Amino acid sequence: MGQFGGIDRSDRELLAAHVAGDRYAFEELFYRHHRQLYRLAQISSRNPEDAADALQDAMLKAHRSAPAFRHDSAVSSWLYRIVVNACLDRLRRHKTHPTTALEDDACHVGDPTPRVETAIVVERALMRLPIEQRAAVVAVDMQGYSVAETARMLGIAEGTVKSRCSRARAKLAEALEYFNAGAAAAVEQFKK
Amino acid sequence: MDDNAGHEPQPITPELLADLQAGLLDDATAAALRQRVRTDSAAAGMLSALDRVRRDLADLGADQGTAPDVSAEVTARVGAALQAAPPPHRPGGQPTHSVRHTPRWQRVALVSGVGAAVVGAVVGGVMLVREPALTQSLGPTAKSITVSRAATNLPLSNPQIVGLLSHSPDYGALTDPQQRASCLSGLGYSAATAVLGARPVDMHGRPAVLMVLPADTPGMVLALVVEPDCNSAHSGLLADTLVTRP
Repeated sequence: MGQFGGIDRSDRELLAAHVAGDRYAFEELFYRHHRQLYRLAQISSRNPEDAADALQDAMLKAHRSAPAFRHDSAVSSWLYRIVVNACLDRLRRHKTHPTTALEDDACHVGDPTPRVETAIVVERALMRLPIEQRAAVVAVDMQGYSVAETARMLGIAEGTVKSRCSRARAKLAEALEYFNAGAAAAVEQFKK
Repeated sequence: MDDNAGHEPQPITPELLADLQAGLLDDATAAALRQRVRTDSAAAGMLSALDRVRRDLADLGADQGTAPDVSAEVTARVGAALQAAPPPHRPGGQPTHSVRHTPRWQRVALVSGVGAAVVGAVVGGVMLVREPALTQSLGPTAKSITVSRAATNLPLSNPQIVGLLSHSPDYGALTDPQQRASCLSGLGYSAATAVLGARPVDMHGRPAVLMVLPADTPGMVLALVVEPDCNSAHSGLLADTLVTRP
C-alpha cells in the first residue's frame, strides 16, 4: 500500500501530496502511524471510547491544518502532538466525567524483544495511574510541554501539575521496581 | 529539612525526591536536599530511578515500533472519516490560510499564482525571509481570496465580522493577556498585534474564539477562528478569511 513509483513515500512527501490534493495521501500517513497514535490516545484518555473519539478529532484536525504545518518538527511528532493535545483538551472540557477503568485490551506483538517488553511493562504501569496523573506526565514527560503549558491545556494550576507529576513518577518507579535497580546501581557508583 | 536547630533531618523518601524533581520544594529546601543526595547512595539511587521513569516515558511517546495493534473498527472508522473530509484547500489549489498567516513556503505559491504544485515543490525546505514588499505585491491575490472564500467556513458572516470592529473585544477563553499573546505568537503574530475585535464562537459544536486582526492589505481585516487552547506551540487555527472594511 502506498507505493509511488515502487518506493514508499516519506512522511513529508505524503503530507505534501495531501496538501497538493492527493485524496489518499493523508489516510496513508495515518495508517503508517496509527498504532502509535492510538496508543498515545489511549494513554491520554479516560477510556477506549474517548480515545477513539479523540483520535478521530485529532486526525481530522491534522488533515485540515496540514497546509499550516511549519516543518519545524518531524511529521510524526506533529501528529503525536495533535493527538495528545486533542486528548488533553477533552479531559479539560470534561473534568466531571466519571473515570471508567481502562481494560488492558491492547493486542501486543507475539514475540516480545526486550525493548518491546520494557515498553509493554511501562505502558501497563502507566495505565494503572489515575487519568489525572497520567495526563500530567504524558504532557510533561512524554510530550515535553512545560508545566505552564500543561496547566493551561488541562485547565489546572501549575502547582497541581507538579504534584500530579510527582505522584505519578513515584508510583511508576515503585510499580516498575526501579527503586531496587536504582539503589543497586547507585551503590556501585559510590563504590568507585 | 533545617539542620541548624540540631534536629534530625527529614528522612529522604521517594515521595520527597519526586517532589524535588517536580519543582515542588522551595529553593532552600531543594538545595539542602540535593546536597544530601550527593552523599547518600540510597537517595541517589532513588533519584536515578525517578529520572529513569521520565526517560522511559519519553521513549514510549516516540517509539512506534513497540506500539500494539489497533482494532480494525477504530482504524476503519478514522480512515472513513478522513476519506469523507473535505480537502484542506479549495479546488484550484488556493491555500486555505490568509495572506498574512500563510507559512513562508506557501507564500511562494501565492506569489507565483501556481498554488498547490509549487507548494509541493518547496516543501522540502525552502525558507523565505518574510519581506514587507512580498505582502504588498499580494494585494490583488488577497482580494481574490476574499471573493472566493466569503466566510462560508466561519461561524459569522462578513457583516457580523465587520460589526465586531465597533464593539469591545470579547476574548472569551483568551481573556488572559499572556495566553492571548502566546496564541498570537503561535499564529505568527507579535504579542503587540492590535486585535480589532473578538468574540467567542461555536465551530461545529466546539467552542472557539474569533479574532479580527489588521490585514496586510489596506482596507481589509483578517478574521481568525482559533481553539481556546491555542498557544505558541499550537496555533489551533480552525478557519480564517479576509474581509473588506467598510
